[in-house]
Amino acid sequence: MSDDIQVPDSMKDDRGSSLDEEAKATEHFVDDLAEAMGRIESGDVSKTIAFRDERTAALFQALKQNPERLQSTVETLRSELGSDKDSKGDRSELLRLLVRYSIQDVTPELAEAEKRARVQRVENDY
Amino acid sequence: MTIRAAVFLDKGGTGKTTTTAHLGRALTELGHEGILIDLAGKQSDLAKQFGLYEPQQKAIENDEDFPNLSSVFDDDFGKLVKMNGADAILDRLIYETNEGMDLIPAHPGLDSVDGELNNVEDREDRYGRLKAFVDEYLEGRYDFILIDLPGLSRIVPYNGVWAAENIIAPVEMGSYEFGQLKQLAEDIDKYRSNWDIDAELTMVIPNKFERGTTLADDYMNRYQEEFNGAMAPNPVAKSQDIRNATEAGKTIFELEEPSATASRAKEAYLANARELVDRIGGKR
Ligand SMILES: Nc1ncnc2c1ncn2[C@@H]1O[C@H](COP(=O)(O)OP(=O)(O)OP(=O)(O)O)[C@@H](O)[C@H]1O
Ligand SMILES: [Mg+2]
Repeated sequence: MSDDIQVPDSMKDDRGSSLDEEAKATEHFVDDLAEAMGRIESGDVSKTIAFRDERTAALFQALKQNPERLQSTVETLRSELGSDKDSKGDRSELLRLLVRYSIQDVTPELAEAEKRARVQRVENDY
Repeated sequence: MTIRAAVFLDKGGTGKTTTTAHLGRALTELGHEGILIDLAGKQSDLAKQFGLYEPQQKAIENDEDFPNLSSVFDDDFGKLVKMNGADAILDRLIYETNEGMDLIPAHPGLDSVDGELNNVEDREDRYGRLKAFVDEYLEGRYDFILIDLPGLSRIVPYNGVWAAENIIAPVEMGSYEFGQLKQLAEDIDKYRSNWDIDAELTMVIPNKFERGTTLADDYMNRYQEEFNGAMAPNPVAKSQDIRNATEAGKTIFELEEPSATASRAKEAYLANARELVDRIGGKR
């Protein structure tokens, strides 16, 4: 303890590194996320992501050949997520909705961090 | 008057920390007394640069790390000073390097400061906390203050910009970097108009410069054209000695037998330090 230093009450709980590690990590993540949003907005980072997986690729190939099934899957997800019909219901939208849905379902704290990062970007001057 | 500058570019690894340390040492060499402030995050790179990392980590382990740089951003920092007196507080905050300058090292607590300041409504208060501290406790006490910033646009680094107003940007010669620097110049214009502060791109220092390649010369010309008044008089050579010295916890000024590139880099830091004093000192 730095017992020779008198500490105002208000500073006692955030002394040194006593701040909850998890809260700090979250704060950091939200910052990084807001940061990434900025980079994507400015075009520094690509907004396209790709991944390699045979089974999903086959599934999407088949959905392409069966547009009605693609449409109905997209609609199910839209209503689950309460999202508007804002794009054409193609495979790209399906993938996007699937990812959003699983994030919300499996790791809601990730979805929460994303929301906070958005707020942070709006509130910041830049 | 204390000369203040923040070393900043919204990009990692361009030599910000190296520049802060070496310009600081060069200014010391020229007879100025100064202090470095490390806002660049928890790696505590400036403490490492001067072999102070271990003692600082020890202090953290032994719970003797209060107050620290993150305390400066606290609502009740003023109260803390009143209770203990400024000398006791500064004594805890400030480390002495063995190269003549003082240092306020980074602290893990800085990590959460951005999140906390995000909730501060008043703009002056949100971005002006470091400035308030510097104005009150460091101005006049030192001849110069150099602030090392992370390559990020966040509230804590903006506090560095508010406190220093003069911005030094180390850049490599390349087209991507050229774009980054132009972006920085635009950002600085925005700081001036949005925040009504006197922010200025005071010095652009070409870093890791490799002499004699036509490409480097081409870029140099382009930079000169675009950032005319801001260019540093001497580019800093790329030198393995800089890396080695940093690894060893010192600047190249401490090397007994510097290589040719390190000697050139040293001369460049000295010339740039002299020019910095002229530019900033001459402003008021
Ligand atoms: N002129 C130079 N010649 C050779 N190496 C250099 C030179 N300047 C910097 N370096 C090396 O480049 C690396 C990055 O430099 P430095 O840490 O100063 O960059 P930074 O901008 O502070 O990075 P960060 O954004 O991570 O804080 C370090 O290993 C450093 O030793
Ligand atoms: Mg750095």
